Amino acid sequence: MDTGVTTTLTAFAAQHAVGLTRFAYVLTGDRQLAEDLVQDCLLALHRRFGEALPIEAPVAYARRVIANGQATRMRRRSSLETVVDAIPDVGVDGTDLSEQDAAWRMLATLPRRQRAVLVLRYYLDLSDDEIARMLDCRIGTVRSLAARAFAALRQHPLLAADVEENQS
Amino acid sequence: MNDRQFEAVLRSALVQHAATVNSGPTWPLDDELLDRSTGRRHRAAWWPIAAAVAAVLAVLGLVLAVRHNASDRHRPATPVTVTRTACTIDPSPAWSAATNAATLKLGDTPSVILGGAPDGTVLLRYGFGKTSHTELIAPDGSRRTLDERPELAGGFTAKGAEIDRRWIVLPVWPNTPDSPTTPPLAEFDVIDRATLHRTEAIQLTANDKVNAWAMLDGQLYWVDGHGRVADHDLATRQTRNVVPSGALSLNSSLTGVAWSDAQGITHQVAGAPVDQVPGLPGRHPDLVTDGTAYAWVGNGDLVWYSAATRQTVLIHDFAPGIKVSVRAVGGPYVVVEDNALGPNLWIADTRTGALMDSDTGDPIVSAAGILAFSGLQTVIAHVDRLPELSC
Repeated sequence: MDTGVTTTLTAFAAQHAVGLTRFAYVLTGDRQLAEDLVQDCLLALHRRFGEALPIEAPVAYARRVIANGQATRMRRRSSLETVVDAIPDVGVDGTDLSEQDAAWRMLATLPRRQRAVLVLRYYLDLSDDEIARMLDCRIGTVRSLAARAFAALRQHPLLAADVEENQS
Repeated sequence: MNDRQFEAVLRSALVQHAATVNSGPTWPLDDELLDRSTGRRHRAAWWPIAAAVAAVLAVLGLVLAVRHNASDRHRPATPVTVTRTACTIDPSPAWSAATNAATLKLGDTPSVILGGAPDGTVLLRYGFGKTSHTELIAPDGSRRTLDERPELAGGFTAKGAEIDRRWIVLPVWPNTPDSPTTPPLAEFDVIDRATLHRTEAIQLTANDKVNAWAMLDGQLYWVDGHGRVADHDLATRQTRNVVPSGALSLNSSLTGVAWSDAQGITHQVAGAPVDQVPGLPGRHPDLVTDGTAYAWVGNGDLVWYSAATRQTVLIHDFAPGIKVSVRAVGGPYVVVEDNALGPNLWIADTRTGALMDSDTGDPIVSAAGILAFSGLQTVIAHVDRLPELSC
């Protein structure tokens, strides 16, 4: 069965660059890194396929490249990144956190794979089976990572207080 | 806040923050930057010439190899050790083209390689639920279909199938979608490879907590949660315990099975030692083989050995400061996993020392000249059709 050419890389980028950057952003929590990952992904697609994209699910493929690219970036970070003393992003006011802000902040404390599982499950609404294939692991590993991530997030003081309030 | 509320908060947080991103990176890059980043223009200009030269050299090499084999048939090869220095290279377009050609065209259908046989046959499942299919794919590309869902109703199978000349064994887990962790194995489904019909379902209890299994010459071995090693004869359907306690896991190769204890010491159960290269001294816990080539990491070097040519290749400076483990070897290629910060796979070409990031997927099968990867796409590659990776 021949998959045939479904789109061009330029058209694909025009249509999906923002969506992929959003995905990379929630995956990493770092907007600059997210853009870099998407740029790397487009370059990887260009290197592999040229301008024509002869794959049937380029968005899923790109997401996988981004998820894997994050691991590679983390491994190479020590030699590629420069430490600065000023944070370029402007953070939110931490004195009156909403539950969403608290959840976002807690996500940043999770190990990469735990965070990836939560993002794939709750941002992309992928099934555990799909997540397992994307992360190259077993379904049980996905569930285990999700359970550990949940346990870690539940230990945060803000959510712990919410739990107590609800229980009382 | 219950779990459902918590999930809703999490979902909302992700969507809210994602929505703050309203732009992506620029694409296409200007030509100069693109060419510098990918080297594409340079490679595109030389690619046809390089391909032609490679084809001529490959034919020449094949002729020489055939003549060499014919003339040396009755003479043992002389052991040779070669050292190379590792070099990291950019993704190879030739490698991508070769793996694309070896990618199974299954459309949007998800697929997973369940296991492989020592003869290079691959067991593939594709599709979901009631539409899933399980096929045996031989090295020549011929396919045979198993029952669409050979495992018993209510269970599911995944990676970890064992295949030898006569039998296929599928591990089956109970289908408990709400469980946050993988439940203990429920059974082994035994399938006759000749008829592709199930001949036996070896029932396991949750209390068995079977966590490792391996098959060799019609014997299925498994380790349970009590430290026992069981040996099940697939022909007579008889099970006996060969180790009463103390076993933590099983190590297996194409030619042997061993169990390891809590101290990491391996004890042979059947066949050849799994951590030794025939004819060479030393034991290597991470030894992998495709039946002819062997690879392991020793003293910081990646070591590759061919039983056919008795050539050893040592690749120095392989991964300084990074913990790596060898995942598979297929001919001259070694697949290595880097566990430093999130698992990452590399392909090493022992002919050159070139080391390349692999986006091909997880290596599941490496035997008899076949290197099969299971990831977003399924790749079943003939090693002799993959290009040399150059520094």
